Amino acid sequence: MRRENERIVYRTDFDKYVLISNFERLGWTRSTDEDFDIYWASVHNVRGLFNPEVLSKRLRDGQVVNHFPNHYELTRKDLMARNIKRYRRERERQALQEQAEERFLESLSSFASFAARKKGQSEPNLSMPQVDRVPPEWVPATYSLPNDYAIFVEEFRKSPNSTWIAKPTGKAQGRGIFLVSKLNQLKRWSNAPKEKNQQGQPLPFREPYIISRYISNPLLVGGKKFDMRLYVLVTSYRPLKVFLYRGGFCRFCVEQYSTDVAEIDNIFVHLTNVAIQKQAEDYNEQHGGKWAISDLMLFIESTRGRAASEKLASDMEQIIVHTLKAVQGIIVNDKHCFEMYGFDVLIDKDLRPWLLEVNASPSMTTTTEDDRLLKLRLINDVLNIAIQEKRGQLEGCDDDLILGDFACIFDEKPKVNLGTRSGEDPRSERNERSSSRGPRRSNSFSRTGYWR
Amino acid sequence: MIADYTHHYSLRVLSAEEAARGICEWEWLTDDVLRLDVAEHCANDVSYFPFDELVEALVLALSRDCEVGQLCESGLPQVPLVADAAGALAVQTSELREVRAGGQAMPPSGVVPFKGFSNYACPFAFLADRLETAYPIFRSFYCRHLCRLHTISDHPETLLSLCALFEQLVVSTAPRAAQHLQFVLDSSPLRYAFHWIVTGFVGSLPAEEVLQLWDRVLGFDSVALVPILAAAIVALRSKLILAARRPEEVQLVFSDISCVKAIPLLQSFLFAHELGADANWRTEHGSVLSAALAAKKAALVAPILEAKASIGEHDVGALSRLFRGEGPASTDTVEILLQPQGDCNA
Repeated sequence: MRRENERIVYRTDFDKYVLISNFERLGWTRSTDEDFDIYWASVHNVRGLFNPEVLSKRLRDGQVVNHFPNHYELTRKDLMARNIKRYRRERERQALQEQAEERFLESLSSFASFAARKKGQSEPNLSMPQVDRVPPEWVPATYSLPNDYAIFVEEFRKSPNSTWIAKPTGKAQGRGIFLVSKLNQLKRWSNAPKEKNQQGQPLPFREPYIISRYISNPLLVGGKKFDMRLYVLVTSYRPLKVFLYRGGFCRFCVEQYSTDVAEIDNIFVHLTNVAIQKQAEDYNEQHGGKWAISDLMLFIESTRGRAASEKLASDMEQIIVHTLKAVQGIIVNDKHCFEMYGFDVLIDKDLRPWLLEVNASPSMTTTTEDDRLLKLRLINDVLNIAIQEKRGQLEGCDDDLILGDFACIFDEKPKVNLGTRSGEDPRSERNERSSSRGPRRSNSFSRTGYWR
Repeated sequence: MIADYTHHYSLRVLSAEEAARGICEWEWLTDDVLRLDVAEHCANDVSYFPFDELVEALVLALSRDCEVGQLCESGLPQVPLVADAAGALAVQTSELREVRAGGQAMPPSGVVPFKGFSNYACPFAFLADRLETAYPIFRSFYCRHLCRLHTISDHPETLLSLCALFEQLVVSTAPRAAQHLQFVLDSSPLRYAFHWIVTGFVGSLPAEEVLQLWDRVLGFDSVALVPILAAAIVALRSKLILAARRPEEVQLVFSDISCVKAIPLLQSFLFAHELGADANWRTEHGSVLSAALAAKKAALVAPILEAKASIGEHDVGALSRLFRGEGPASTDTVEILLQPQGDCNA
């Protein structure tokens, strides 16, 4: 990866073992100022970096940063929900329109083939290329508080037995989250002491929250609730190029799941954040409640069959790609940027994946031995891919040695040597292909199955 | 906990007499032993920890199942503990019918748990998420195959003969490594592989590999595949063993086999000739397995390969699909398939 005698300089805002040890193993030198080749920044510093008013801080050619300027369109819970909602509406409208066109063309083609048969010719091909269908809703209904309070109350009243989960927009690690099954429980938010500004004066607004429909029938393994942490690397938004890490893991709750009303405030039953579960009495440091996704897939394949596990894996990839497409148009596609996201996905009893949130700075803290190894390899692969992508060295690359445990699940870059075949709709160039080189060998999470 | 599984339990499996006597509601001394075992092994394992409650239920249910002692084809794994009517520990006998006359085996199954016993139940937790589905399969497989892995007797294919098979295979396929361990390090391959054999590789190989191996045990109807795989792994790592100079280094060679692919390794070990001379099976000498050694190895595994011929339509694929619960909840089918050899071709 490194050119001969090349001296790479890195800068980092995090002194985490998994980061530093990778940088040092690669022989890179550390810097604390503007002289860097690659910067593993905190989201706070990135804001300053891309501030248009500070010209001196503009990035030079060849400098690489690990965040996009307006990543919050994806990583803030309220903005993500809003962007995805808008995207789905747009695509549905588009799909309806194209359906109408298709029906028109079908009627045309049946006339044309009738005419052709009369003339003794072969039937002309007037079929439309298939448009990617948007998957069914994958983000639970979300409302902002206080802005959407009235709409939320209306929705709440329509479904009387539903549970909702309230999360602060700006906090992480499960802080401030609570469940709501009765409207008066929202007093926890409305009566909360107001936030204070730097001078210690109370701000006029309450802390912004979002409230979403709680998925109360999650898939349980061993009677316990879990969610999944998937690592997704995006090296460019336009054209969109996405890599998914095979080593994602499930985060388990320590307590058995229960929909009992009495347990609604028991965060050890409902919230899967490691920061929270760590404080539980029965927390186990050997495995840290982290379970490999490959084990989950084995379990699903064993109990529900291969088709179900493959469908789940494919659905998860679909929602990742469509989530990124939802913000594709608004993210500033700065060529210096790449980003490694932490997607939090929950699966319900019907094996339907739900996106809970996207993290711009997934935790680099490690809780167990396996976890440390996983994150070390993750960072290694991320650095590898990011640097080579930015140098344009990864054209059409499927080589595992380079991609490591990542797999490219989406690549919009048109191939240079692909000409349109005669008769093919020129719009097919715009159609998304799902791999950089023909159909992908294997799905990112599906296993090779029993040897026959 | 006890109330839970007696509720879910299929009463067909427990004898009605026992249910009436309320044995199920009693705590057995071995219960705590088993619970501790689950807490030490299953609950700490990165692959099996979500299933700790189910595994606990499976082993507790097995320990209360009076028919297990009779179902074990190779006899009781060890001399059972017996309490007479007064509750005191009576004279020990290895015949279960004598137990019935006077006292009560403790635990009722007659199988005394040992450290790591709960490992046997762990892979079954992947196959079914409910006790009533998982237990019959676990019980049948235990009585037919797994019990042999810790039975010390002169019955064929019990622990002693399995260890002997392992040692003979290692000596014939990796003689230098075996000698190195013996004379230079004052040890033996069996010392390191014993754990694999007794546990059936649970906890050493990844869950998927264990399930595939046990699939083949079911298909070949022989638990000898376990020591054969152990020998194959030793032969695979023979070069590393030869390079080891201290006991710690040997320990390292045997400590992590999580990247071993069990089935390809077994296949190349057993069927190298059928796969052709260019199959990558080489002894430590770097030469393809010589004819003499091959013949010796073939003689050892021939009885197992013969069994393969009698499986007929019950091929491995079908059996593993059974484990996946595809098709109707098939405890009946499991019992038919696991009947003694003679009925297999019916």
